[in-house]
Amino acid sequence: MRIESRKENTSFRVRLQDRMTFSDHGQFRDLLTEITREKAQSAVFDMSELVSIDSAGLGMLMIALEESRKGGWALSLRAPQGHVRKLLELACFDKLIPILH
Amino acid sequence: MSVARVLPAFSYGSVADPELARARILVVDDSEALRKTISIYLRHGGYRDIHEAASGEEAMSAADALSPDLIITDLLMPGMDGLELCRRLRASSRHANVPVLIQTARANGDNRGEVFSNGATDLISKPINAREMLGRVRVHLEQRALVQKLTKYQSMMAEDLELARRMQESILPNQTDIASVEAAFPVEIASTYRASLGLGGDLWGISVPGENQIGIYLADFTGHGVAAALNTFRFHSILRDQHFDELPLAEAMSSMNDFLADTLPTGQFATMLAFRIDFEENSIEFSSASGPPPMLRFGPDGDFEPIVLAGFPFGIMRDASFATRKFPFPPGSAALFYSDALIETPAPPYSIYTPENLGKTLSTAQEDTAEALRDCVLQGIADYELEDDLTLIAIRRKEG
Repeated sequence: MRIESRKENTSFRVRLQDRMTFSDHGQFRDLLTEITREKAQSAVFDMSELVSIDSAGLGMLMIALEESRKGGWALSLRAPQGHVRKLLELACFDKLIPILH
Repeated sequence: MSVARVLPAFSYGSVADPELARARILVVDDSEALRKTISIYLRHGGYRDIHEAASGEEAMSAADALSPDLIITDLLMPGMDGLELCRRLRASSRHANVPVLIQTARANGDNRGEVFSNGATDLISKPINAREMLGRVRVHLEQRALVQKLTKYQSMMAEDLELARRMQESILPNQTDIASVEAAFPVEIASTYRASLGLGGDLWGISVPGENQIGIYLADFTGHGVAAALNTFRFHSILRDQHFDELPLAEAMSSMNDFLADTLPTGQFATMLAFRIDFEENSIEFSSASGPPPMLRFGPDGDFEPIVLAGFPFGIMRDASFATRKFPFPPGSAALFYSDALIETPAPPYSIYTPENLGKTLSTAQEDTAEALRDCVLQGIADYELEDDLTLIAIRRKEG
């Protein structure tokens, strides 16, 4: 997975591209730590270019949710497509994390 | 050249590692003076187990008799030369990996490549410089020790994993378990379980919760490998502890979820599909904790349809509730339950199967049996190496 992130004022814009799998664990954790360290108030993860996510990827989103609660920032996901969207809905993640379309 | 002249006045410093000092070194040279020189250098370097051979032929039999940890040989010798010795050592299974250091004259540049292509590990320049030689000997002995340690560790791990894999297989239903359910109820069951990394995070089971009921569940823990496999063992035992079969399905699901929410760390969870087939009521009830949509066919005719039922995965939120759905399951009905590897091979969005197209494949089964239903689905992904664990369970309710 390719991660692009930039900080705009107090908000992080994160673009996730390609596939989100177990091997992305390290870099994703680093990003979450950075968001908290930068004292961001919110972070939007743009998923429109993410083509697939596996169960470890869903696990990482849970970790992101926990980190956002601890770090005091608001997490939201934007525009998941196809397989990713179906999986998020099947797992009821749309009830846990706000999804912007 | 005399030994006295080339021996410098200072000490070379002994090898610090007593393991390394015990290394058995074979020195091969047709010149006795040079053999003695090299042996003396090695002794000064702290090595104690040094042997000598005066020719390539003698070296081969010494290698077989002594199994040296390292060989230093001259290049040019009457009879079997250093290159031939190298080739023979590499061709033998016992000495294929022993480091072989060949002495060559510095000026002899063209031969150097040839020396390596014949299997030498390294070169030692002639005239021999004691410190350079000891340095190279030490590097190659250390490397060999490291490789041996890793190889030993690897084979130990492989044995451990194989044992664990067999233990894990033993908690899955075996042919006898399946046959006894098939004997007691009008049903056929065919299953497949393939762990992607030797150990898997998938688990399935079959039970008889009531007089006219069978229960089937399929759980899939995040990830695969050792951690996921340990979770399957835990799951297997708590299923019983939580009285899964005795509770109404929705309640049983909630109690498993609460238990896992309390025990699994953030980021780890399990998906689960659970079914209860009632042969008196002619029904199938199911609930899902984010499991992939099962395929159901109601009665002997008609198409398989994916049944989508959303639900939180087990372990991410305490007090989550789980919906259940009940469908008629008259004689001739059939179902396919699977873990997500089936619809994620090779990888979304290029997967061979999706819940939407699985029905079409199932309709091509050679005959209407559980085995044929399973096999026609497996055939479609036979050429792919799976990245995740796969469990597939086909069920058909017999007529009559």
